[in-house]
Amino acid sequence: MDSYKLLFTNNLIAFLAIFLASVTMKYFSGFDAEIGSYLYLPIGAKILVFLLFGRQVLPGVMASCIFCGVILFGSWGGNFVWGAVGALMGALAPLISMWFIQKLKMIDFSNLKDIDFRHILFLIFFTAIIHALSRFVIYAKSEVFSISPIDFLSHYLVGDMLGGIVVIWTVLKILPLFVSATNLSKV
Amino acid sequence: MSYIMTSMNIKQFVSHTLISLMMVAFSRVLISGLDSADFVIGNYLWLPIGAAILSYLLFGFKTFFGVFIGFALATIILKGSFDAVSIFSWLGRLSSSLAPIVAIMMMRFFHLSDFFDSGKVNFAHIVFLVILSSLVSTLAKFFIYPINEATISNPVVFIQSYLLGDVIGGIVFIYIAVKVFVPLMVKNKLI
Repeated sequence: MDSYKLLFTNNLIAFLAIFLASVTMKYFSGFDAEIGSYLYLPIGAKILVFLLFGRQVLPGVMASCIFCGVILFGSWGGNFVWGAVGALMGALAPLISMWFIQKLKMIDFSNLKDIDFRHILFLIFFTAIIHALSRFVIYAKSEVFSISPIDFLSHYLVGDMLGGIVVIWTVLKILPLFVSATNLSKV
Repeated sequence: MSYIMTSMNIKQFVSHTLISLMMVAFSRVLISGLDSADFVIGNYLWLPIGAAILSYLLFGFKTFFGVFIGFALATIILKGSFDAVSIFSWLGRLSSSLAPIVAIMMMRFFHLSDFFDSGKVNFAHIVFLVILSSLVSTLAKFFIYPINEATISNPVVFIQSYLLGDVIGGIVFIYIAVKVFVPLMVKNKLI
């Protein structure tokens, strides 16, 4: 029973983390599925929750991607199926990247305590490439979206890299500083 | 003594450059039968990327000119004359020559791999290097080629064929080379 409760809580945290990142991105830079964004924060949140909780949070990530993609951003081009498939690819891209990197024994993401920050940076870059290419193929094949290939790929690649770095840098490097400062002030 | 060392280094540099040049040019000419008439569809067995990667892994980045000249030589042979090669074709060859360097530098910068574990080739890491080089090379070509008058009519097929061709060609070339050529070169003290 406790394990189900933990699974539900982790999925809820994943859902909320991506939702929060999506709302922040919409507030700061806006988002259009056909152009992308130069600060795609949700990719950072997705990578982070997969690193923290593993693939068990996939349902929460997928639900959040569909909810944010289709309802919050309205990026479904009038076709729910293609909109959902594009959103789901956003959920799967970090997982595929991590699985692939681990399968070839490049990096071990299971022990986060000893992980090299450069490894996380590389994961962001690799995920950005996989995410941008997969979304491009899906959107171009769907013929629901009207996309300019060069603009689409350049926006998605740069946006994913910047968004990923900003979120993970903030969570791993800046938040602990605030937490330790708060703890010190309590003492 | 230093004169002999310099002479040895030059001799080694020239031999490494020539080996790289021959590997790239020969592999490019070898697959010319699989080329498509439309440049949007890439060759599905792009062996030269494997030759370029292997050259950099065995001899270092100093063989860049050998790799680039190998690509250039093969292109001139296949097109028939120097004038028949467009500036965009040169840029494409340049990106093919540079992509493995970028990928190797990325993997070293991010502390991913040195590709050799106690003198033995780590094939899994080299497969990853091939995939990363293919991604870099395909994306570079994708951003270079549309500058040409003949814009890419089907970008999905372009990315799919170039990426797949690079990955398959790279893995096939390196697998054969590691099993056949490298032991031969070690035996003849070329590396």
